[in-house]
Amino acid sequence: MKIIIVEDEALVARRLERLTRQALQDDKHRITLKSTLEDAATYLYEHPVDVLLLDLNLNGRDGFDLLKMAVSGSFHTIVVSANTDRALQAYDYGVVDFVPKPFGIERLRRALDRCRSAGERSPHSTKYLAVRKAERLKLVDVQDVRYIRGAGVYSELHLTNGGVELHDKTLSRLSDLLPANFLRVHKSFIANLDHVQHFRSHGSSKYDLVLENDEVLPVSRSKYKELKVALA
Amino acid sequence: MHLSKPTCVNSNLRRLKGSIQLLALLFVACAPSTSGVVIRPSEPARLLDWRISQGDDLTWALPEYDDTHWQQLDLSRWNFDESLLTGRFWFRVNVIVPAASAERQIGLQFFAVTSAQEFYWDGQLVHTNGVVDIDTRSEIPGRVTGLVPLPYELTAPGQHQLAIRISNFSFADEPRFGRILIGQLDGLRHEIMRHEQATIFLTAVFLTAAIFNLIIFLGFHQRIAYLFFALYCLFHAGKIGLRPTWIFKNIDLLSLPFHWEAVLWCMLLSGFFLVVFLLHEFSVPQREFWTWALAGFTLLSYFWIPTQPFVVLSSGFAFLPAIYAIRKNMDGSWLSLVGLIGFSLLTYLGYQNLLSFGYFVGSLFFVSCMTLSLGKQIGRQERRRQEAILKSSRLENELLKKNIQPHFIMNSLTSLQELLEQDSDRASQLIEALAEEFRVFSKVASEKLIPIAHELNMSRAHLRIMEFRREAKFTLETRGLNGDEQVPPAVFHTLIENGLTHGYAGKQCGRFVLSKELEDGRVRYGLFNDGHLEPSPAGARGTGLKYVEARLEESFPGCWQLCSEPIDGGWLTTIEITSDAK
Repeated sequence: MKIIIVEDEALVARRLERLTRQALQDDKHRITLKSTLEDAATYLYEHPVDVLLLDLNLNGRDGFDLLKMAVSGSFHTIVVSANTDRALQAYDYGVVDFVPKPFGIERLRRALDRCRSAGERSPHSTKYLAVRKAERLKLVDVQDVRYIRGAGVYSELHLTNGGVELHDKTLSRLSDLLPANFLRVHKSFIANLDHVQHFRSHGSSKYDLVLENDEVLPVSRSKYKELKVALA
Repeated sequence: MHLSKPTCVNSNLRRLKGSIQLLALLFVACAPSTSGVVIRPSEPARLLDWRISQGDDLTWALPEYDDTHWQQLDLSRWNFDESLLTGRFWFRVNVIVPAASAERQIGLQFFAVTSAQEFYWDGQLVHTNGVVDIDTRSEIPGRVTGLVPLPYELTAPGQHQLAIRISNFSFADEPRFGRILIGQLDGLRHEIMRHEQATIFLTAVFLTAAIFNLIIFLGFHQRIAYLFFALYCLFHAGKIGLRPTWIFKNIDLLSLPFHWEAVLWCMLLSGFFLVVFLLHEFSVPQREFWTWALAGFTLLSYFWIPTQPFVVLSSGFAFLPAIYAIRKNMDGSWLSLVGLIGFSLLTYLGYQNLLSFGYFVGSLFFVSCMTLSLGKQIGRQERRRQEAILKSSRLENELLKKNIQPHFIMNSLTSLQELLEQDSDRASQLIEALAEEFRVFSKVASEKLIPIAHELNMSRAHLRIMEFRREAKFTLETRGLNGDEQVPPAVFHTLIENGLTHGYAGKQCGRFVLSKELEDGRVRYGLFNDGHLEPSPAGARGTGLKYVEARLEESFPGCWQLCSEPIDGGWLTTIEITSDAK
C-alpha cells in the first residue's frame, strides 16, 4: 500500500509512521511524511496513493480544505486528530475513519484494516461525495445519487436530476463509504435502493432492477439474495 | 374709578392673583386718607403707604391729631430717602374695618422693622417691641417678627388709626423698614403657618437630598460631582431654612444681619455649586479652570452683584455644561436640560408672584431631575461593574481553556505516548514541562497583572513542550527587562504560541526575543520571532490576538496599543502602554 501521512508535529508523525508499519506487519508499504498542506497537495497531485492519514489542524490552519480535496481523490482518507468534535463532520465528507489523538496501535490498525478489506463499511457513512470539477470541488449529496456505474478506475455518479458526475474512487472504495441504502447489485453497479421502483426476475436466474425513472440495472446472481432481503 | 371705590377693587382682587394684586394693593394704599387701608377678609394687606414725621410726641398717637402736613412715604418705591428712617420718628396710617370683618378679630404682623417700636391703635398702646429711646445706648432693639392681636373692642367697623412710634439708632447706618401686614387674625395665622410648613418641608427635602448625595459620593467611587451636588442641596437648604422669618422667627433684630449674611452666602454658594456640579458631572474640558473662574465670579458677586441678577446669571451659566453634554450625547444630559428649563420657568413664575415659592419649587424640580439622572447613572454603573466582573471571569476561563484545549493537550499526550514507548527519559522531561506550564497557568489565571518572571516561566515551559513535539529547538531571549515588570497573564505566552503555530511549519529551530523600551513615560514591549507568518486578511483577528487585546484593555483601559506586523527576517508584535510605567 502507498500511504501518505500529513502531520505537522514531528513526533506524532514519527509515531504514525512507526505504528502504521507495525500494524501492516510488513515492509512492502511505501510511507511518505508531509508536514504542510501545500507539500501534501503537491505530492498527492503527482503520486497515486491508497491511504491518506491526515491531521485536521496543520500549522494553525483548518485541514478541512485539504479534507474536501482528499475525499474526492481515488484513495481512502483516515483523519487523525485531537479535535474529536469535528469527527462527525469529517465522516459526512466521506472519510473512512476518524482516529482521535492520542492513539495506540490497535486503533490505528482498525482504521487501516477498513481501508484494506473491501466491503467493510465505515462506522459513519458519508453524506457528500466530493467531485473534482475543473479547478474546483463540487459536493454531491449522496441522496441525490440514483445509481453509480463503475468505469475502470473511475465511477459515474448518475444523479436524480439526470446529470452524471465522474468520481475518482473505484466502486469498491465508494461502497465502503456509502450509507446502507446503497447496494452493490452488480460488479459494475451500485444502486440507491430508495430510487428503485421494482425488482424483476426473468427466470433462469436473470434479474434486474427497474428504477423510478424506468432505467434498468442488471443484478448479479450472487447479489440476488442480499437484494431481496434489502428490498423486503 | 377704582381709586374712589376701593371695595369694588377688593371684590375684583379676590379673583386676581400675582402682580395685578400687587398693583391693586398700591391703589388701595394710595387712596385718600379719609378712606385708608381696608382690611380684607381674604388675605392680609401689606401697609406700604405711610405718613411719616421725624421727632417724638405722644399726642401723635391720638386719632384726632391732624397729620395731613406729614410727609408721604411709599415703601413700595425702592428709591425713597432712607435717612428718614433713622433717629426717632412716627408712622401713621388710616385703616378701615369693614362691616364684613366686624365679627372677626383683627391683628397686625410686623417683620424686620428697625429697631424698637410702640404700636398705637386709636391712641391706645397695643404692643411694644424693644425699648424706644433717645440713643443707641438706651435703645433696645426688639424682635425680628411678631404678631399683635388687636383687642376685639377696639376694632368696631369704621375708620381707625394706626400710629407707630419708632426709634432707630442701632441700625442707623443701614436703616430698613421690613413689612407690616394687617388683616383678620386667623388669616394672618394661616399665612404664617403656610409659610412655616413650606419652609420646613423644603428645607427638609433639600437636606435629605444633600445627605443622600453625600452618601452616594462616599459610597460610590467618590465621584466628585456627587459631592458638589450634595453641597448644592445643602446650601439650598440653608438658603431657605436660615431665612429669619419662619424657622428662626423668634430672634432679635441684632442677629438679623448675620442671618441675611448667611442666606446671601448660601445663595451664592448654591449657585456656584450648581454650575460646578454640572461641569464635573459632564466632565467638561478644562473644568478646573472654569471652577476657579466661577469661584472668582461668585466672590465678586458678593460685593457687586445684587441677588436676583446673580441667580439669573448663575442659572444661565448652568445651561452651558448641559448644552455641551447634549452636543456630546452624554447620558443624563437631556434630563439636566429639562431640569434647568423647569427650574428657570418656575423661578420666573415665582418672581412674577404667579407661584409662591416658585424659585424653591423650581430648584426642587431640578434636584428631582438630577436625582433621577443619578439613579439611572448608578444603575448603569452597576451593570458595567457586573459586566466587568463577567468579563474578567470570561478571560480567566479563556486562559485556563487554552491550557486544556484539545488540540494542545491531545497532541501533547500523543507526543508523550510516543516518548514513553521510545525514550522514557525524554518522556519524563516532557511531563515536567507540561506540569510547569500548567502550574503557572493555574496560579495566574485569576490575576490582572503578574510578575514578568511568571510570564517568562510559562512561555519557556511552552517552548520546551513544543521542542519535544516538533523535535525542534526554540529559544526565548529577553532584552531591557529589569524583572519587576507587571504584565497581564499569558499575553506574551499567547503571542509566542501564535507565532509557533503559524510561523514554523517544517522549521527545525526558532528564536523569540522579548524586549522592553521606555520612552516619555511610555513602555514599549516588542516580541519578535523569526518565523514565516502570513499576514492575516484585514480586519481578521485570531482568538489569540483577541485574548491579548481583552487582557490589555482590562489591565490598562484605553492606554495601550497593539501592532502586529511582518518585519525583516520575521514578525514583530509591539505593545505600547502609555500610563502606569510598570
